[in-house]
Amino acid sequence: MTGEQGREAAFLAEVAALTRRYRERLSGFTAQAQTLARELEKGRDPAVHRELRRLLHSLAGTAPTYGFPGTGRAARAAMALLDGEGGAPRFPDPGVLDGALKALRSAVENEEQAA
Amino acid sequence: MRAMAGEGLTRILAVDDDPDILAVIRLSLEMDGGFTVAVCLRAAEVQALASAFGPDLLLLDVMLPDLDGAELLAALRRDPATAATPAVFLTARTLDEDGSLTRLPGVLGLIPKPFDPLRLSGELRRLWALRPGAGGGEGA
Repeated sequence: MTGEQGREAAFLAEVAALTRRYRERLSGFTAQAQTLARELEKGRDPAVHRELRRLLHSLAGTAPTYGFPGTGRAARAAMALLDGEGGAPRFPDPGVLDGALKALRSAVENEEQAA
Repeated sequence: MRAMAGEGLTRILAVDDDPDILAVIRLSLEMDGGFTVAVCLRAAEVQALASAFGPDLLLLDVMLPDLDGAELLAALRRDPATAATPAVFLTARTLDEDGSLTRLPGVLGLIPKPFDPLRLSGELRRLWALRPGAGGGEGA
């Protein structure tokens, strides 16, 4: 193996390790989203809304970069439920949000199994 | 794999509010690109870090919680240390629909999220080679 090939192998191994660590945390992110959704259902707290949206926004942007496009799409779909006109917060029907988060959990499980 | 850091491009400051994105950016740019990289999670800390680090290029997320990328760039342009530092935006938008981001002074282009960590360094080198006065063209 040349020095160049060795550097490339080391880089790919680091990317794989980073991806594995991210994948191990994905189900924790979905559990956190479901906890926040339950809190939102109780009190329509704008801070909880912001936190849930931030979490889903992060998953939507980051999961595909780590090779989990289905998780990214499901997170983006759930996030869209939280966005009202002109960027105002929207508090969706709890059943609808719960359905979107279940779809997110399924996407995570499918991509975890496929990895 | 790599063509080590492009001409005049060695130091990159990356700004994103997501630590998982910054981790993969740092890995890609350091190990694959051979760049020296500083990363920052909060817009409020960028100016001080940029002054101390002296980046050749700013890699800025468009959607930051405390300031959007265009506002952040405007603030950096008021600082003599970064007034003329070329910038590239990272954006979840696939297109800069009205061209408002790419028309900002010193913006070389956009990299859409999600991006491929194995291609990020090459894409930055490509944009860097296209900057005004670079002789414009691939492989410059």
